[in-house]
Amino acid sequence: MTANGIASDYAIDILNVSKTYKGRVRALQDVAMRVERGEVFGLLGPNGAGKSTLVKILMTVIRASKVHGTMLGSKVGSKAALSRVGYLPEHHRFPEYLTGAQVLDYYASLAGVPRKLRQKRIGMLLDLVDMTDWAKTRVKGYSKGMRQRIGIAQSLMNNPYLVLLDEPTDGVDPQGRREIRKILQRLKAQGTTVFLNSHLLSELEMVCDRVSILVQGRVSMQGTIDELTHDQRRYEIHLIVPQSMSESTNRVAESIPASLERLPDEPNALEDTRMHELTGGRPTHTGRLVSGEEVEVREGRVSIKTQDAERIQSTVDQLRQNGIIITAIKPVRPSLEDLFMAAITDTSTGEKLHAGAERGKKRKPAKAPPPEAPAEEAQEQASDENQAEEAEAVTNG
Amino acid sequence: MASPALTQTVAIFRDAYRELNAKRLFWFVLAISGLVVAAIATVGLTPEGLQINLGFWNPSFPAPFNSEVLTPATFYKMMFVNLGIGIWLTWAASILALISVSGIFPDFIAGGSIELTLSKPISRLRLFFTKYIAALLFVALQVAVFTGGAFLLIGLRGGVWEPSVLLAIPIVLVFFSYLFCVCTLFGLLTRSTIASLLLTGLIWLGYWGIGTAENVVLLFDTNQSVLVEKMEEEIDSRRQTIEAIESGEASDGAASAILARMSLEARKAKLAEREEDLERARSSQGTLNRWHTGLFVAKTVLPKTSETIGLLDRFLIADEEMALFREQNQSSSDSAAETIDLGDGQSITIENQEANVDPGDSEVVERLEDEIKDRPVWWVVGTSLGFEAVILAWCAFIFCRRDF
Repeated sequence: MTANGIASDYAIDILNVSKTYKGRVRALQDVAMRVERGEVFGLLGPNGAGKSTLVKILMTVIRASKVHGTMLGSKVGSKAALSRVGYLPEHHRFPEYLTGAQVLDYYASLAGVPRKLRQKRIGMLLDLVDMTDWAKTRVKGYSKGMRQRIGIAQSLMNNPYLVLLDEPTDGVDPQGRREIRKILQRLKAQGTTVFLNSHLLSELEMVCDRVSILVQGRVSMQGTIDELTHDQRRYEIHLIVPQSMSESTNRVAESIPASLERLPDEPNALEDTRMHELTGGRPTHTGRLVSGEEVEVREGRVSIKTQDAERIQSTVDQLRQNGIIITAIKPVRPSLEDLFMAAITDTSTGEKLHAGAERGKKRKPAKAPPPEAPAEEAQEQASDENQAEEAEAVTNG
Repeated sequence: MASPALTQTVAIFRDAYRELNAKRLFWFVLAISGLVVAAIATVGLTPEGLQINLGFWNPSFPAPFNSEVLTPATFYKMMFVNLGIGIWLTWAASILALISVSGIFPDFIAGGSIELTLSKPISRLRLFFTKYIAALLFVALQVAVFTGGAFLLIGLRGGVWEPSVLLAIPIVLVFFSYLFCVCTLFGLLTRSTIASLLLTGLIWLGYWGIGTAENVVLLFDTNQSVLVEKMEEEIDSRRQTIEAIESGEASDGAASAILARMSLEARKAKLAEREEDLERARSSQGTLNRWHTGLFVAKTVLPKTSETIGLLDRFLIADEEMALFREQNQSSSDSAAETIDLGDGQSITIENQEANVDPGDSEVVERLEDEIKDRPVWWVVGTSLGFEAVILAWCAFIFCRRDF
């Protein structure tokens, strides 16, 4: 049930989450997010984007400047919600005088788990994270990976409906990561919602049903990986043209049934654009096929933005008719890393966005443009000043 | 099945125990407390003074306390109050206890640790106060061990089973809490154990400084009051003598003898001089009184560490026992009066010597002690706890509002 008494299908359903720290550092700005029950949800973003701040707000470690919404149908931060949530913070530190089993017992007690249930779950969860042999050893003797495993076990002690894991594979070796992935998959199979906050995009890609990308305290992208990559899917036709580069690309361009424009040879503002990063190599020609699909020509490669194989057949035919040898035709879907890089790239300038939180400015009179400068230039100048004053990351998120 | 709130409270208490248990200092202080009780137990009273009974070596020392002046029960109670509580528990053990518990809050709110705790379904306010009380309870454990030992000592060696000895547990605990609340505040503000410990030490010094300054000024104020009273008596006496001479009451042989000693004019001059001295003394008394009022107000606002520990004196050692001890040790003071033999078995007593009072005079000391003892318990403990409540409210506000 929600705070309003309405049943909620979402494990997390938040709206307008904002956090402004002292010094007017805006860590989060009107974040809205929905995590469905039973899914594995990944939160990613560059350092300082506000990921950990968001998780900490959900877990009442940080007080939000503004937050609306529910967690497991109860008001965010309510005891009812927290009692059914498991949490593993980033860089967590357990009391060094406790043994692994005592850690589990202590934090489960704080979660209000009855003694008999605690005793039952301690053995079970130590077994799950493969720490049974270390149960009676003090935490100060643990390696980072072992601490992480105990941390995961700790987050599951109250048999939660929702688990928030902040960098759960931090410091864990590849084998340990695989084990953690298995645990996550098992949790998902049990119907537990998992909210993952991680830098390891490949890890997230392997386990997450949906992801959200935070940049500068705002949600930049959100959805399933399929949804997010839908528009970026393309076919790549790899070719061999026995001529020099400029001649070969011209010949390829001439062979394609499309109106193509040759791009200048010098690096330009689009040098670092998203497509450039995704495909590798600078395009020499861009344009549209007669059927409307976007097409780019690079050395030894033609990219056509479509998911429909039928749409590339005429191009393949034309290329072959012109004596160009086709070595491979591949459907390409951008990886999560590609999406991530795209999210932190300013599409208008092609430059990387400043990752961290924004610092608000004191209100001061707008600077009048110099008489000879047009108004647009003055606006650009103000924008540059804003960027220069952007704050460094204030959280680990 | 225990309620979640009870489960959480027990968990915090057990964690505090485990934390202190892991610190060797906690057990070290406990062991030293046992040794202090054992050391007091070895001291015995003899008709000549004190004797240390070690079994294999029993040296004796002459001392003003002996079995003719004090009963064994009073002796052990005084040893317990003055040495056990006054020195060991309020100074040495308190410093060691502060070192033991000063890290509790800085460690508790350290990054990586506090997130786990705050994410549990327990309110920050309850979490803060449970943690605070848990730390105090383990200090209470130390005091209880020492006081229990003292109770047995007074019972077995002194022959009196005195349950009021156990009042030392709440009294010392309240005293310690005056310091621990400040330590907690600094721990929350600085997040550093060392900084909170040092700053608490400074504040403790401040409490002690204000308390001592108030007592010293009160001593001089009392001294001045006694002096003014005595001077007033002296001046009255001088006036009466002059009036007697002037009215011719002493017109017989005795008067002649008096007049032979001092002329009327000289007496009047002396009277005028003493009246001026009295005015100056009154003026000094007024100044001292103002200073004392200021210090008293400051002391009222701050925790009263010495007075709180001093409450044990009130409850433990009866006034009669103390009066008896004083009587035995008090030297008879010389009379300020001059008695003149007039012959034929007649004499006249004249208060013609200048009144003088020393801060060490028994009358001044007794008045000072009475004044301090007359301060009500609510003033001593109530106002101190009021200060603690304000500090704790501040701590709770910080803890509840802070982003970790």
